[in-house]
Amino acid sequence: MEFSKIVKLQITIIFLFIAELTYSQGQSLASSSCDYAISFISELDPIEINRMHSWVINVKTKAGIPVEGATIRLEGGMPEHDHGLPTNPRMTAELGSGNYRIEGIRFHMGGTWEIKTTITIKENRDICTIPLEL
Amino acid sequence: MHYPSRIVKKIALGLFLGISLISLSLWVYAGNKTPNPWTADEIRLIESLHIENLPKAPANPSNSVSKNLLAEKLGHRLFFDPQFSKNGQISCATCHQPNNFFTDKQTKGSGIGSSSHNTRSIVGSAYSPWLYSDGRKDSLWSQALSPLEDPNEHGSNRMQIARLLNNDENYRRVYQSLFGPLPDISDLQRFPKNAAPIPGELGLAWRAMSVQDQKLINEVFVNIGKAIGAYERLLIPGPSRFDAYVNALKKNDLKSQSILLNDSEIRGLRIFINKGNCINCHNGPLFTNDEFHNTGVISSPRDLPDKGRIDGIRKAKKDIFNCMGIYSDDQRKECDELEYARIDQPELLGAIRTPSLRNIESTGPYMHSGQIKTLTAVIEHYNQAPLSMIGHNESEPLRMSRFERRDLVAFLKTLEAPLSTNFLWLEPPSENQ
Repeated sequence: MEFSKIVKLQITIIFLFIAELTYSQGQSLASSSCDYAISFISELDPIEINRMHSWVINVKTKAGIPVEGATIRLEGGMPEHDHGLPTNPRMTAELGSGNYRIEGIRFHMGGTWEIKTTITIKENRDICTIPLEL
Repeated sequence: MHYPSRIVKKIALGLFLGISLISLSLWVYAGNKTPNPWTADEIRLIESLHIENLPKAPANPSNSVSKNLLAEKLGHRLFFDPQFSKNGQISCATCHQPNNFFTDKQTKGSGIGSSSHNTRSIVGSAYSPWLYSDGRKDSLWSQALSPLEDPNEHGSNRMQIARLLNNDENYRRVYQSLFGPLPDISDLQRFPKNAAPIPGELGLAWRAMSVQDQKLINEVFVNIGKAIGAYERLLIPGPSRFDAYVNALKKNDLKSQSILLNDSEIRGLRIFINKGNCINCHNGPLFTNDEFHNTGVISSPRDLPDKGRIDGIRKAKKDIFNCMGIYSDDQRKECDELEYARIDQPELLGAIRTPSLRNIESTGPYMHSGQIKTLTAVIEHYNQAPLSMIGHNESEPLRMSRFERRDLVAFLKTLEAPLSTNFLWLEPPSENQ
């Protein structure tokens, strides 16, 4: 194997390791298809199943500027089980510096979840997906 | 070199016996010292089911007497008292029998008539945000009110209940020390003998009352529910053989592990947390996520398919006795479950609340209308995952062999245990209590 390929592989492995570590600490980066860089902090850390809790979602532009005045909607579910979230979470406050409080989040199964975060600013709407392993 | 064939035979036989002896010794040794058969992930899952993860039963903010000893005692007496019924013979304990883990071994509950559903255990229900198989009630106290006025269950009515309290010196004294004075209901023009907001004559009598008088009676009715709810909160499951196994697993005590669960039960546990997908819904120390799932259970003969949660949440939202209503003691009305509940999603159609599996062997028949009689048949149902009569069956066929199904049933039977509740609460109260 060429040296450059080995380096690339190592970088990929390190990235995956960091990503895994980040998820387990209750924060996550959104999928690359989204126009924003979003992360979240869970009131429950680590997240436990069957417990209602809230998140603070932080939205920044890719250049790192906090996004103000957005409306956030949280949906999602478990692709493997073909069902959605057991609750209907809602944005209850904009906290400033690109932070938004989302209340009413509960997960009722361990496994792979996909949280679809819809960010609406005026007419513009973008969906960022947060993968989550519980 | 040439050896006589007899010597060769002897050496071969000696070698054979020696190897057999060593193999047998190793087998016996391995049998006694079974290496820990679980991966780290599996241990995490098994430990998540341990009863020691169960916190103290939470107080209910919508019920200000939910941790009050006097209310618990009043609820205890009410729970076993058949006076609060149409014929004076039906109490909560008629269907929720302490000797049967607060179920009745019947397909459907039997009171004044036949109930529409199987009697669910109320053990551990203080932890559940929703009551009934469709979750149409959001607290123990609110749930306790429904059977009292159901014509097929107690067949009583809130006016009769208020009168019974007024006429019994002991009840009246305890009630008034908990909730303040009972209203004066001696005026039969204002307060008929029987009345309740249900169809028929009782409803006519109820509608003839003033709104203020209705509210006075509702308050008495609600306080009865709150006392019963306070009592029911005390009904907590105890540690089972499975929990003892988890203790041994935590201590890496292999000898105790092998004594506590046999090979079939351990294989069943492995299926429970892996291939069987059981732990997806039957998770946590009560073996339930308290959520609503459509698992394609066929309705009983002559019954329409149950619409489940899609109807239940509508009823819960409209219920005047819910957490957000005027009879709730939660001043801040922080009713997250009700506020953030899903409504109208297609997957709620035919979705039924996951029951706990603790003491499951003793609490059949199974499913919301007692459609399935045995645990073996329940497992067979999940193995096949038939099409749902209504909505969409979430589960997939499991393709478990006959032996795997047998092992899974064997594991479920390790969840039997007496309640951890003091036995005095499990018997009718004595006269001087």
